Amino acid sequence: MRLHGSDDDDGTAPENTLPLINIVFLLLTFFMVAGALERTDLFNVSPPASNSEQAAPDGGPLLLIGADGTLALNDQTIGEEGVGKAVLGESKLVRIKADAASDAAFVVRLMEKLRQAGVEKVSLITMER
Amino acid sequence: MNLSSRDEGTVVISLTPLVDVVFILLVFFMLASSFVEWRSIDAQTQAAQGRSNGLVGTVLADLKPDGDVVVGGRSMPPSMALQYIDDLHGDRPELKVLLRPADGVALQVAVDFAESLKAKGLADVSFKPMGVAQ
Repeated sequence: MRLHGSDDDDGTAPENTLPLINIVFLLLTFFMVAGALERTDLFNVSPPASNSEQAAPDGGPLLLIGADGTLALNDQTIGEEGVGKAVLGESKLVRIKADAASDAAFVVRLMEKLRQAGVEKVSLITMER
Repeated sequence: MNLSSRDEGTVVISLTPLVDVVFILLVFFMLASSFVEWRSIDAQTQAAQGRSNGLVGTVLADLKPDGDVVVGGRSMPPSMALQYIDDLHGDRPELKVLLRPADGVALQVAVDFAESLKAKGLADVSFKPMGVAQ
């Protein structure tokens, strides 16, 4: 396939690149419109699957909980004891994105800390089943 | 703008740089775009739903690491626990369920059990850490 060069210097006709460009434009448009650009998480988290129809909220701090218990709030690593202080007075809503394999008791303890810090609503992010 | 004609006096614009840029944009959006639709569930802890009634009208379900569920002092498989709680719910429509996952229970297990309860019509399902005073 020749994209450069003249079409008649060696007597061969150029391949028409317009259909290729059209398809590439269509693909580009599809990915731009249908996909959503997201920030990558500080570490890999695979949330639990659920049948919930409720869309994940946009606002509020995001607490990441890794499968090994690693914690990050708004992309900053924190310890378990710092969770309550970190969100104190910041928001009434906190989103938790916890790994499906993480310890449920640990997650519930963190939720309790958040509640004690004044958080009124905890939204546990899940994946569509 | 004439892209194809080669008449005298016209400028031929090469499409190659345009194609290059579009290819780069396409690769970028293919790699960076996400098609995952995130869902959420409201994960309330007990006191967030009010503690005025204490544990009156509430059933505690302890999720054990071996998969069993302790309800009403008896350990049973999750399906039996669901049936047991559903029977209680039939007698008391306002029944609340407190889930207490033990250490070692995966979050997916707790979410699945909570969803199964909600699927049976129990709207008031909340979580509670083990060993917390009322």
